[in-house]
Amino acid sequence: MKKLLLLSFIFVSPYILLSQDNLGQIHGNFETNLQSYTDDPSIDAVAADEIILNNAYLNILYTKGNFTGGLRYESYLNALQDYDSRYQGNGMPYRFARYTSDGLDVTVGNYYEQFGSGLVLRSYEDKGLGIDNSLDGVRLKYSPINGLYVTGLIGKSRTYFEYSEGIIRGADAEFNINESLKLEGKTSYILGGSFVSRFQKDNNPAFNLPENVAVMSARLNIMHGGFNYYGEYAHKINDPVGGVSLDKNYASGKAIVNNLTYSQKGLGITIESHFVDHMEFRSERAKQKEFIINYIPTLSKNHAYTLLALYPCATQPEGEAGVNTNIFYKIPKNTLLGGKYGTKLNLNFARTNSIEGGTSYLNDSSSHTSRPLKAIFIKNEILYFSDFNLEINKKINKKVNLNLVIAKQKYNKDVLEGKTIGEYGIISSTIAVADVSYKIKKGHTIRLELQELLSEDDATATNHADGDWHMMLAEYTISPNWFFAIQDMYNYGNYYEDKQLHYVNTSIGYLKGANRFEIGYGKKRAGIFCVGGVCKEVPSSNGFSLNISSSF
Amino acid sequence: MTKKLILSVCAITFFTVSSFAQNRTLPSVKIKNLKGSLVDIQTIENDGNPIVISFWATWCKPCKKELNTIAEVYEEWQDDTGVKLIAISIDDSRSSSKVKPYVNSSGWEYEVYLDPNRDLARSLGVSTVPHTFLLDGDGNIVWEHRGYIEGDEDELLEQIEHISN
Amino acid sequence: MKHLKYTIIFFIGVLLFNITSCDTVEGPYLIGDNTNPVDTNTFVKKVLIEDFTGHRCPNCPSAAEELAALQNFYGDKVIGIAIHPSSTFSTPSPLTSSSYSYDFRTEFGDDIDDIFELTTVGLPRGMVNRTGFDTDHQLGKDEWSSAVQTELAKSPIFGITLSSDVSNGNGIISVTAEALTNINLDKIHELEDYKIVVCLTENNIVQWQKDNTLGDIDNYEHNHVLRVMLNTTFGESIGNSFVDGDVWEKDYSVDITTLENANANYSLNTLFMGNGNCKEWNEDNMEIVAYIYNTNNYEIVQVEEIHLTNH
Repeated sequence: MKKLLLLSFIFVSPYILLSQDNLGQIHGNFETNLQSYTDDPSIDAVAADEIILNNAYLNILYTKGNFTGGLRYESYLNALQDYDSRYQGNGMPYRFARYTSDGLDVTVGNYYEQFGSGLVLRSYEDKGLGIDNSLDGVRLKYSPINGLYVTGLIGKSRTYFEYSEGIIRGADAEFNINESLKLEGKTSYILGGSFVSRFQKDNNPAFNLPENVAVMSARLNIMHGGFNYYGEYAHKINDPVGGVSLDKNYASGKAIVNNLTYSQKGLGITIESHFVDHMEFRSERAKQKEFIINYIPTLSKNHAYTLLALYPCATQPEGEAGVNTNIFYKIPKNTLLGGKYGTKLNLNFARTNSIEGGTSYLNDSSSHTSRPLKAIFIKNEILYFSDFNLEINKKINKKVNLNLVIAKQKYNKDVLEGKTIGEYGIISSTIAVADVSYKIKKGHTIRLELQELLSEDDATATNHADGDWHMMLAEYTISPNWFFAIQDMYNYGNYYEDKQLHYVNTSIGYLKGANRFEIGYGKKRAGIFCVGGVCKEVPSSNGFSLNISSSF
Repeated sequence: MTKKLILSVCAITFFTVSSFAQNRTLPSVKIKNLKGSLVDIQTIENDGNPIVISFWATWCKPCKKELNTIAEVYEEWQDDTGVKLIAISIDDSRSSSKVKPYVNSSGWEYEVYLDPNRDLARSLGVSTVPHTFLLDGDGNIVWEHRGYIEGDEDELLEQIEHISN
Repeated sequence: MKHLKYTIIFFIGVLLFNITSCDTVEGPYLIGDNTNPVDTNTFVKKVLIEDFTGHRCPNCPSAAEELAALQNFYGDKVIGIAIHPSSTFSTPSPLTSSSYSYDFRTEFGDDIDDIFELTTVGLPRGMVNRTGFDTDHQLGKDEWSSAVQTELAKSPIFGITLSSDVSNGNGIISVTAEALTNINLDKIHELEDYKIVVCLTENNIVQWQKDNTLGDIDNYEHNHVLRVMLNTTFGESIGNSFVDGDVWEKDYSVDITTLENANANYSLNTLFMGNGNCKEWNEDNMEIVAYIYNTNNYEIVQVEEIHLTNH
C-alpha cells in the first residue's frame, strides 16, 4: 500500500508541478557514517560480526509557496556500535506536510517542538547522540493577537522505528507583552505557560496508576538594558512507573530554573541555576531513558577540548541542584595585558550536587515535600560535579593565535555513570590545555594542541579511575578544502600497567562547497559522549571510519 | 523489473522537472532575536545587498574562529560590498543564555538570532556547524560552505564581491 | 472580527484541555486484595518470565524483587527463570578470591541471549513468554506486570503435567503435554511447529551480589537460577497438528553429578575466566520447568513447574 502511494506520488507530481507557474523547490541533505571494527583486547574493543557498520540518512524537503513537505530515509545496516542496537534496518521514520494560511500554521506527520526551555516537552533530534523523539501527529500554531503565540499539538513520540504507546497532548502560549501592547520602554517582558499530558492505559493489576499524567510550566523573561532574567517553574503530577513491587512512587515532580545574565560591550556575565526533583517525563511510563520527551540541560560548560570533556557532567533528573556561572571579558586592545589585538578571557564555575538533605523523591515512596532553597545551600549534599576553569584566547600576531585553558574538576563517577556507591567515588582532576595555531602562509595553517590531565582517585573508593593522561593533536589545514590531523591520547598514569595505552587516531578531510568527506583511522577510547544533558556511552573501537555528508 | 523501470523513469522525470526551478530561497521559519521576539527569516533583508547567514554555536570552536576572524574585517566588508552577516546560533537551552553575553563581550556587530530547536537549521539541511550561506540581493541562496578552515573567509569575500558587482 | 473568533476558540480549547487532561491519584494506590481461586482440576494459562541478570549488576536485585512480587501476586501462575548470560556482570572472580567467585553462566543461557540479545540492550532486562520478538521482546522490569496481565488473559492451548521420582542424585522425570483444543499449524507457515523445553533451575543459591544501595551483599539468595536444559536449549518438537485431547509424553533420566560436571567443564574450557565453580547443586532446592513454544515467533504458549524432589 505504502509503495503504491509513493509510486503514484512520484508519477503524478511532475504533472502537477508542470501545471503551476512556480515549480517549487526541492532540497535536502545526506550523510553516511561507515566504521570498521576490529578486535583489540588491550582496549576491550570487540570486532563487529559484520566487520563494517553503517548509519546513513537522506532528508528531502519540498517547498512551494506556503506549503512544505518532507521526508527522511534512514538506514542502519547495522547501526554503529555507539548507537543503540534497536536502530536496525531501513525505513522512512520521518515525513510531514506543513502549510500556513492566514496566520494558522498546520503540520501533520512528524514534527519537532520545544516548549519554553524544554522542561516539559522537547522533541528534537541529535544524530550524534542517536536521539530522535519526533512527534507524529498534528500541530497547530497560531498568533491570535500581535505578540501572543499559541501552539497546540497531539501525537505519539518516536523511539527507534516505533511510536510510543502513550499519546502526548500539549499546548503552549507565549505572550510578548511589549510586542503586544507596543511598549517602547527599556524593559521588556515575556510570559509563557505550557501544559503537556500523556495518556496511557493502566494495565497494572496491583496498583491504581494515573492514565493521564500532566506536566505544566510557567515562565517569565524580563530584559532591562544589559540584564536578562529567565525563570521557569515546571511541575509534574504523580507518575508512578508500573510493576507490582511495593514502594510505588506517587510523588510529584518539580523543576525550577533561574538564569540571570548581564552583558555590555566587552563584558558578559551569566549565572544559571536549576533545582530538579523527579522531573523525568517519558512517552511511556515503564520504559527507560530512550523514551524521555523533556529536556533538562546540564549546568556545565560545553568543553571543546578532549581532556576537559573526559569526565562530563550528566543531569540527574531525579534529583539535583546546580549553578553555572560565566564571566566573558575582552581585555581591550593596546593595553598592557590586552596586547595589540586584545585578549579574551572566560572564567567559568559550575557545580551540581544532590538534594537528599531534607526530603525529596529520592528519600520517600509516596509523599514528598522538597525545599529548593535549602538545597542551594550545599553544606550536606553529595557533590556530583564541579568545574572551575579559565580560558584565555589571545592573538599574538598576524600568524600566531594562542588559546590556553586551565581547569580543576571534580567528578562523582558513581552517581554520574550509574555505578555502585563507593566504587570510584569523586575523581579530582587538574587539566591544562595549550592550543597554538600558526599561519605558515596564505591558506596554510598548522595547529598544535597539548593537553594534560592529572587525576587523583578518591581515597575511600574501591576501584582506581584511569589516572593521568597526556594528549597531543596536530592539525594541518589548507584552505579552502583540506585538513589533516593526527592525535594521540596517552594514559601514562593508569594504575594498571597493561592499561597505560596510546590511543592514536589520524584523519584526513576534504571539504568542497556543501560536501564533506572525512576518513579516519585509529583507536578510540571508551567514553561518554554528552550533548546538553543527555549522554551516551561510546564503546572503545579500533578501525577506520568514513564520513560523507552533503546537501543539495 | 518493469516496476523498477517505471519507478526510475518517474523519479528521473520528477527530479529533472523540479530541477528547472532551483532558485533556492529561504523558507518561512521563525527564529528568535536577542530580545526574545519571534522573527520570520524571510523578512530579513538588506536593501538588495548580499546577506551572509552563518550557523554557529557557543560550543563550536571553528564557528567562533570564523565569526571572530570576520569580525575583524567586517566593517571593511560592509563598506566595500554592503554585505550583512546574520549569525544564527543553534545553542539549545543548555547554552542559549550564553549567546548574548558572549556576542557582546566579543564585540560582534552582526545581527544575532537563536534557533534553539534547530527548526531553521533543519529546513536548510544544516546538520553540522559551522555552515554558511550566501544570499544575493534578491534573496536567492547562491553559495554555501560547511566547516571553517583558516583562510576560508577569503573565499567567502570573493564570493560576496562576485555577486555584489 | 475573524481574529476574535479564532482567539476565543483557541482559548476555550486550551482551557478545556487543561482542565480535563490530568489524573492525580489521591489513593488508595493498591487495588484491593487479589484472591485468585486456584482451580486444581483444569489446566490454567501460566506465564514464564525470564530474568536476565548478573551477580555484578547493581540494578538487577530490583528486577528479582519485581519477579518475586509478581509471583506473590499471581501465585503459581507466574514462573520465573533467572538467566546469567556471559557479560561483564556475570564474570566470576578467580577461585582464590573471597568474593564473586561463583560461575552462574551456562551454555544454555548464552544460547538464548545470542538469539534474543538482552545483554546488548542492558541488564536487568527480561522476557515475558518471549512475546514481541523481534523488536519488542526485551522488557524492563516495570513492563513485566502489564505483559503478564495481557498473557494471563489468553486461554491455554496446551496443558503440561510433570512428575519426578528423583532422589539421591538421580531419577526419572516424566513430561506430558496435552492439547486443549484443535491446533493446526501446517497451513500457516511451513516449518512452524511446537517445541517443548525441559529445564532445571535452582533456588536459594547463597552467594555474592552487587546492589546499588547496599553495595556488596555476601549472602544474597539467588533464585530460579537456570542450571541445565535436559533436551537442548531450544527443545524438541512435539508436532504441529493436534486434536483436542492429544497427548505427547516423554521421560528424561536425570543424574545430578553428570549434569554438574558438564556445566563445570563448559565453564573451565569455554567461558571467559571460567573457574568451574558451579557445582554442589542441592536437589531439594531445585525445580523442573517445562515450556512449550511456537517456533515461528518463539512465543511461549504454556509453562509448568514442580519441585525436583519429594514427590
